[in-house]
Amino acid sequence: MHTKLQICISKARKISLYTLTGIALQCLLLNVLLARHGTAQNIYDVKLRLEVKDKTLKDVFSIIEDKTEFTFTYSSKKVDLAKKITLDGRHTNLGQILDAIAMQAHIAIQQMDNLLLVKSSQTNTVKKPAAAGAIRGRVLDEQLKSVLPGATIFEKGTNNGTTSDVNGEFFLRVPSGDVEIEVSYIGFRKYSEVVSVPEGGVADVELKMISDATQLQDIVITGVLQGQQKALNQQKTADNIKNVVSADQIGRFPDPNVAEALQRVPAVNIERDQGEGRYVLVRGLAPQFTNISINGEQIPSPEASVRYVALDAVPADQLSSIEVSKAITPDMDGDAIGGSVNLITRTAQTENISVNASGLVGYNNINGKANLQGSLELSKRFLNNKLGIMLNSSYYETERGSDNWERDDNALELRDYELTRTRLGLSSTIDYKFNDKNEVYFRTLYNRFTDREERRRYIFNPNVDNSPFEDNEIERLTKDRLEKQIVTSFNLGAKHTLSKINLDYEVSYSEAIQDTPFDIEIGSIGEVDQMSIDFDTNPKFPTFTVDDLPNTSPQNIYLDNSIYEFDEATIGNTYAKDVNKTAKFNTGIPYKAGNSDGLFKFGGKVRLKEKRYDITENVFSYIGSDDLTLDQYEGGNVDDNFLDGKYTLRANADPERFIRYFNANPGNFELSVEDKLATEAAESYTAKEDVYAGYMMTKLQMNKLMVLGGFRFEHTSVDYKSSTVVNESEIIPEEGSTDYSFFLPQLHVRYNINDNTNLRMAVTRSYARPNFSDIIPAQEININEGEGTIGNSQLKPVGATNIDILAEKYFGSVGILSGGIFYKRLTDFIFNRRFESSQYPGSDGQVIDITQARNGEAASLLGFEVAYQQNLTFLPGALKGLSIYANYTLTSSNAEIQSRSNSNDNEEIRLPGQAKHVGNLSLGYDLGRFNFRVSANFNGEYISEIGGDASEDLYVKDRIQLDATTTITISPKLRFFAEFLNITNQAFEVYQGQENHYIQREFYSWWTRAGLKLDL
Amino acid sequence: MKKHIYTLATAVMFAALTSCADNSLEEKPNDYNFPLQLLLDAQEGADLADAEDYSIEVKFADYLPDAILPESNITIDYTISDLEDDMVDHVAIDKIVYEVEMDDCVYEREIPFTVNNDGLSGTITLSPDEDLKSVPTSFEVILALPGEDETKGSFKFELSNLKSSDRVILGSPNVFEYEVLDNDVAGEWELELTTEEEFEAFKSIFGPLHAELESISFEDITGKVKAEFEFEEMKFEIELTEEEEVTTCEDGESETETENKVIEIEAEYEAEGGELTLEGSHVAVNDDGVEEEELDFIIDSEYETNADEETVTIHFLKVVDEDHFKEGDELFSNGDGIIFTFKKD
Repeated sequence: MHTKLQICISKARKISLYTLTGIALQCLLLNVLLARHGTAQNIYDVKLRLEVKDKTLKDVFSIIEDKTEFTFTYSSKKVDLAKKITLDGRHTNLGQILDAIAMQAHIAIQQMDNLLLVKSSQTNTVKKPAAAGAIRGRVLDEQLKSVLPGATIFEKGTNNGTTSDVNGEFFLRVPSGDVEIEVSYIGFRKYSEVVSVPEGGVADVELKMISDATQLQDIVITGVLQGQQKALNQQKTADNIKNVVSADQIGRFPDPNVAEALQRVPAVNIERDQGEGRYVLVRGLAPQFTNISINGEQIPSPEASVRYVALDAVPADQLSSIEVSKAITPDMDGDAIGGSVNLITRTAQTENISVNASGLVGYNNINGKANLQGSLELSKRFLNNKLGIMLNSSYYETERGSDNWERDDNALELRDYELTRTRLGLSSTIDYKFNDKNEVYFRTLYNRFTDREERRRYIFNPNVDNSPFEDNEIERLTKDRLEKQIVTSFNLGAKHTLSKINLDYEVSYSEAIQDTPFDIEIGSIGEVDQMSIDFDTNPKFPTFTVDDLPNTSPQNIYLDNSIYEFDEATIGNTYAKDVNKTAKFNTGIPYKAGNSDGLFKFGGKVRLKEKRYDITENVFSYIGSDDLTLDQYEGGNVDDNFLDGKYTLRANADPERFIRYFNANPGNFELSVEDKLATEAAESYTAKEDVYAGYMMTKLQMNKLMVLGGFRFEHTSVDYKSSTVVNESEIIPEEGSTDYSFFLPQLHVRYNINDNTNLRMAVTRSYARPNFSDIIPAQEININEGEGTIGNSQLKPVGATNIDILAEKYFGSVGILSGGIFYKRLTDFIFNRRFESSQYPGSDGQVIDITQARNGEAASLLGFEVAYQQNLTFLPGALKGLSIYANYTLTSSNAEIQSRSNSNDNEEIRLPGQAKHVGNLSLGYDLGRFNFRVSANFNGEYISEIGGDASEDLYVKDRIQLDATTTITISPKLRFFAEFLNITNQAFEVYQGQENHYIQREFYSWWTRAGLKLDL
Repeated sequence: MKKHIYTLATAVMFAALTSCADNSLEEKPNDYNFPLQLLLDAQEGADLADAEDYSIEVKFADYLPDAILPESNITIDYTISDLEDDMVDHVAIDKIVYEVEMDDCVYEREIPFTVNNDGLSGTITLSPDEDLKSVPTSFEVILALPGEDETKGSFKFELSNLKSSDRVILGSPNVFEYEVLDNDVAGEWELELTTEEEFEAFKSIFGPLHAELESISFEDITGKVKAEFEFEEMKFEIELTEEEEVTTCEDGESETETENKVIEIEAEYEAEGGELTLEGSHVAVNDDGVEEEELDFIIDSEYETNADEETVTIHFLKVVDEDHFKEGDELFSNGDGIIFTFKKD
């Protein structure tokens, strides 16, 4: 029975896959045809002459149906079909004939494609088609000539309206004739214009907005303020609760990558790596709960074990805007509990060539090295605005480092990092507009992030128990590795805006690769007679003695490299690849419900994912007959001011020097074959994940109230292959699979209290897929050590019900005050469970400790967020140049998991990654062409790892980073700016259980950048 | 103007692409296709003075499952050098052999070697075995020794100059140092446990290191306990009353014998100045009798030999392991210790 069901599901899957792919391809092939024949012929274009005398209305309808392709629809109870009609044959087209019939029979006739709807009417005119015309246009800033996304365009005096897209473009269906439209945009004067709309045709307009000098008090509009305007306007007119960060707005803050730009958004905090933002946490939920997309399509993750994307790989200046949706709509992917981050790339806007370039150089204080960044973007529209080409490139290089100490139980570790990071971003968009209603586009994106890291470690491991089985050991390790993350995507799609229907569809291919071509670590161990570490006297900087000399003594023996014997060298490489192939379509049908305008929308999507991870790890021990000690292969840079001189370092192993020796003396090294096979088998895997989704939704604008509701259905089918490794020797191939489906109803309500005030509410369902590392059936059992880790292919995704309520007030002086609460109820919360079991591969009945990701009970999260930003133009004199940007989020959560002290009980914990307090405070000052801003980002403490009991939980300590940036607008086309980051040298600090029990303190010092931005 | 902009743009983009930081390694590790290594099993060894021969194992270091052992000849030169005392003129290769297992039977086959005129050096030719279809994974060089009761001296055996058409190198160690085993406890000794009290005392020392020994009673043993001290390694064998049939097959001849089962406890040892320290590992068993992790142990003891009576008296003082080493928490600790006297076997 089960097998049959699986066969049925498999067939259904294939059929739906072929169908959707077919639809997408067919649509693309038919695009040109559709471009030419969008709808039925207008009745006034249908040539027809008709001469009848005293014929019944019914007979006349029959004659017309015989002579044309049109069919009449009517209710015989409401229409007098016996009415006599006379036509003298002077009318030359069907429209005129129907006008004459309508007048004689006191009816109204309305065209719906090839249908002619007949209704009784007091008027004697033929109703024109419901959308007899349309206005297509673009909203521009009169002064800066740039497009304005998020503008509201209404047919004056009606509910019929729309908003401009990220390119400032809009399409509004209106009756033919003279139509007055009204455009509003925060920071700009309301603008209205009468447009003559031809019957059945489209009127093209360019609406040029003028900034509201009254509200802005003559502030010079620079790119900075303009970015703010764009973001707020998009936010204000959005159907769902979202925050928008425009490209220009990114420039307000010194944020080189997307993760750092996102930390300025309310309820968003980030995880950092080496001081640079990497992962995004929305509303206090761990990174795997946030969906990351480029142009609406999910990006595969280059990393082996997780789904989420390291956003430090994406240069910020590659994007036109970033949208953070905190409540999803049915046409969005459903796996986004925290939120959905959409990165939108740029497109060509005008027929004039547009050149945007920037160049920066900077200095990283920690290692006295430079950083540099450059970007160039060219865009232009050709062929009478039909063809647009945009090419964007950017490059960033920085040589950074960090000084770090860590504690592991009684051991102290000093870590000195030195790294070189580069980011290369290349993207292009080619779009072709066949006509007003039909366009195709092809987008490409290539991001290459490299991270060359050299890590030098000292691990002081005292024999605190005086165990006869242990020594006072000092381990010296040097790691040298290069990690490359390459994300590539190709999107081919089309959009059709027909008179009765909107259609868009897209096929895309994206791949993410994490390639580590070399990863080398050289370890050496020395033994000393005496060692003690004092973590208590100064918990922030522990001290130690070795052979009774303090760590500050330059004669201390730990600095003598000849006492360290070679231990082992680990040489390896890894390769992870994640490929997404996607096809999707969306169909929108506008409709009228009474006086209200509505849009019915449905669509489907197929995403086929293939992910694999391969690892090579060779561990070599030394078998040579002569002693091999660290002084024989030492080298490289030495940090003479490690942690401000509190500890002294000596040259560590030089990997390249060691490799030269290794290559010349292979007979002195032995490969640990068993370890190699065990590691490679346990960690490598392949996975396939197919997702099939469909949705239906409707949006209705009723005067001031907008209601959007619908549902989405997503089915996911997963297959995994991996290996179980028992006792680091026996390797057993494993396979696992699972299927799950989610029905996700969504409801959004927006009430416009007035032009600048919205009240929003959303109730949504969403979910989050488990990380690959948790779900793959890989198992590593070490019976001798009494422990093992087992994957759980039956792990269920986390489900969530989300409630959001938000009020927002926009200021004409470009600003916003918003506040709201959010509540999330999570089911099947995932956590690592540790339990005793004798049921595992290779078991002879021994009970061992198993660690496995399991679904827990429910978890809930309640939060409050408030955001305020305003240009304080109402202040007197020079103070009117002040501006403020502030937001704060308060969150609390609890998750129920199996008790760590008693496996039969449950206990409540805070959700890992959830910070109670998150906020930003930024003060700016504009004086003419000068802008200065100082920004503080506050990230409250959060649990990063759940320990064996509460005293072992790891907390990332709260952190405030202070940055400053200044911009001088030399001319509208040229800006100089300088940035100064992490001014107060804020550390990354982790403590265990109690706040003074530090287990990590990492320092990055400050860094700075300065350069020019050119916009031609 | 436009032309210049395009040219500039192209140049900048090209520069951006090519200016990526140089992230390559100057020296790339040759860890791929790591060569097969032929090496000596140990750097040094020893045997009793009256040993008539000594076997040195030469083997391929661990290699990956998909690696193929050489299928053509390998030649290796050998040298016996640094001969001291009685070893001079009395050490030479007797034979070189390897084993092939087929149909549950072990066959010993010889490897040819040539001896130079000096009698102390020559060449070993390792050829593919017709059944294995490759050279064997290991072989033993059996050296003839003087074999006298009072033999003294030492020598070195060295391999060099490996030649092969395959990717095989001579690994380290390639030099073996032999000496006569001359510590006081070297050799085979026997203890007779004649009473239940003696057995319980023996169990109190070694029971925590072996779950089966801990669970048996005096009736389960024959009373015979052997202690064998070889080069750096020793073992105790406690003979049980229970018997088992052991079948061996060598060179096509199968033989089945009935033997008493034994419990073995192995350790490395150091015996110097009357102090004897044994170090090994055991599998810890929890309160429910379930085997858990493997732990290292140390046995502290003192010894005294009596040449006339050919006995060694071992005074066991303390037994500790990684989880039980603090004072009062030892696996075995008795203020006076427990003494057993072993007789030369």
